[in-house]
Amino acid sequence: MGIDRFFTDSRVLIVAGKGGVGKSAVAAAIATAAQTQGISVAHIELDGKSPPVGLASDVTQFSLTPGDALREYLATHGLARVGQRLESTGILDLVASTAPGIDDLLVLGKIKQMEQSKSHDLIVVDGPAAGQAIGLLRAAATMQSTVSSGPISQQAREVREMVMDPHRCRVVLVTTPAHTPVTELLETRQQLLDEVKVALGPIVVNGVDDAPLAALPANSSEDLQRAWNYRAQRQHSHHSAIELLRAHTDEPIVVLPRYTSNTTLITDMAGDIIKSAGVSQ
Amino acid sequence: MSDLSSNRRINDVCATSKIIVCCGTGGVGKTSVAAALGILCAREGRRAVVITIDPARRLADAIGLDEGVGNEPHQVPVDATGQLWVTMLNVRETFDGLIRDVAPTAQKAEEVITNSFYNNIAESISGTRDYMAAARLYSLHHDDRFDVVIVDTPPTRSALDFLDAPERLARFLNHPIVRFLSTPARGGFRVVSIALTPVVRIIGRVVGSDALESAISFLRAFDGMQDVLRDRALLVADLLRSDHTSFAIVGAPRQEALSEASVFVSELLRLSLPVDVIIANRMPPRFSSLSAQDAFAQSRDTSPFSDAYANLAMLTQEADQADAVIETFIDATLARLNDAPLQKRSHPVVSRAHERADDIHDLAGIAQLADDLTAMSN
Repeated sequence: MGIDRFFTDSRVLIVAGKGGVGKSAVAAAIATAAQTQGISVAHIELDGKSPPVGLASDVTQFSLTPGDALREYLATHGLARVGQRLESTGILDLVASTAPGIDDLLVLGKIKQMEQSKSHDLIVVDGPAAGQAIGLLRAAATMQSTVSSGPISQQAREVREMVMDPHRCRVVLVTTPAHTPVTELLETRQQLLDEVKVALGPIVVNGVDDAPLAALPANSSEDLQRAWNYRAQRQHSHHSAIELLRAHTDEPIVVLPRYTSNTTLITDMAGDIIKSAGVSQ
Repeated sequence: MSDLSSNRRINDVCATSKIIVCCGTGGVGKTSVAAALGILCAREGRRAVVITIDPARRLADAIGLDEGVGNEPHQVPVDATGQLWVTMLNVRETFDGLIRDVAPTAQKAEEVITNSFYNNIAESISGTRDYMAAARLYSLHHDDRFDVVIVDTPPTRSALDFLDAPERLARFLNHPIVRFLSTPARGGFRVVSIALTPVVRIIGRVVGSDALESAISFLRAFDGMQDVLRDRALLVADLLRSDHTSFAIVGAPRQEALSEASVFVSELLRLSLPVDVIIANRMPPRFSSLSAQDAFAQSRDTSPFSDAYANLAMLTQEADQADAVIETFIDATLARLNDAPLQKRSHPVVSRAHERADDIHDLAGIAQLADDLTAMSN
């Protein structure tokens, strides 16, 4: 996927990354960036959190939880009343334990349904933490092997088709520029490619300190020296993390700086994403 | 600052607690903090064991947790009078051990462990991981080799998942349908009646009949073990509520990490549990007593040092912003604890640690974090 086709190469972008890397902000910024390019965007939140502040107001925002997906599934299969009863008695949990992954599958099933309806050009999913993203995306394959027939099996087949089609679905991995998160990203990436067989979009490195740092005059005070050393060490550490990433991946890499303002975070980030995507505003 | 801050310091907590539970969202360095608290306990002459759930590879390497290391605690050499041990939670192994523990016969245990439904749930359901972390905590607490257990909680969507896991399992096992399904068939009569139960028929329609059959035979093989498991679950819940257990909230100066931390505080309070320790990790360091404004002023002078002052000003501003965010969080948390109707008065210890220019990847880095926590404890 060329970076210039960030928003148009596939209809679903699942944004994933380990906790604290700014995954939700990046997902909101991608949605905002695409919307400002005239693409109609739906943003789906999977954690039941409130929508991020700063998400462009013309982006359609949805929240989707496993409970919602299961309830809707039961309702559309003529089991609405039973669904309510199952839930009030706590048996919904039992259903989920009987067939692990069913909640994940139903969440993806709902996303697939939106994708098929073509109500939006692009669906950006603020996905689960990276490790859980593998479980989520693998759910379809797992369900296909444990449930051999019936509506769930068909659902699993259809979801799998979407996940494995690069024109329909891609995963955007997000990391911070440090050795450990990058190493974990590389492991997740390999698992996604080999086991889930999902295509990847650009990889986003968030919070990079790469502003120019002038050389330190020889007779600087100790405070200035310590501050300069810290900064130089931080930049070096960020740089080598990005190099490590480049050496082991062939996806385009989007480098985002450290943002100082919290209030304009999403719009600032969206602007930088558009710039790196080489799309004219 | 609220009047709740006391003279206790982080080392006092590490000298007395028997269990320290670290709560915090991803990316705040919770695993490193848990290991650093282990070092502080060892420095107090205690034998500490840290349970990590999913350590980053380099950190795992640093503390000697290779992929092959299972549930068995492993001693890490530290420069202290006490000892530091670490163990990684192996959900499957813990679950198998628990089943063998509570099964009336070895044969019965094998029947459960080899069941395909059990194989599905043993590792794939997040609830099992939370429960197993709690179960593991319980057994380490009763292990004579250790004086204190430090828990790096699983990175779940909600802290409650971990704290609540024992009681949730107890509720599930107590559910009439589960009890009904798990009662063995007598004379073949029950099998027919179970299959005809509307609720079971519906579950079968959703998940498929093969999955359902496997689940029913699991619950049957499981029969008789529920009570023991439920009692065990309630013991763990009691332990978490006892005076032996301290809860540490780990945060970092990022808005979303702190909103998550506030949710953890709410959940603890809802369970009538106190907050004993607040740790602000990844605080940007300061390099000068000069204010950001003064450093900026200096950077505008035409001197060879103007760029160096601009850098100092930027880093000082980062530290100022982080301090403001953290102080607001700490004050709000202390005020909430003050107002909460807790049985045990909470005088949380507040401690801080610096953000490093690169990430922690060795034992020296963790020892440095431990030094910070001691030096920056109020």
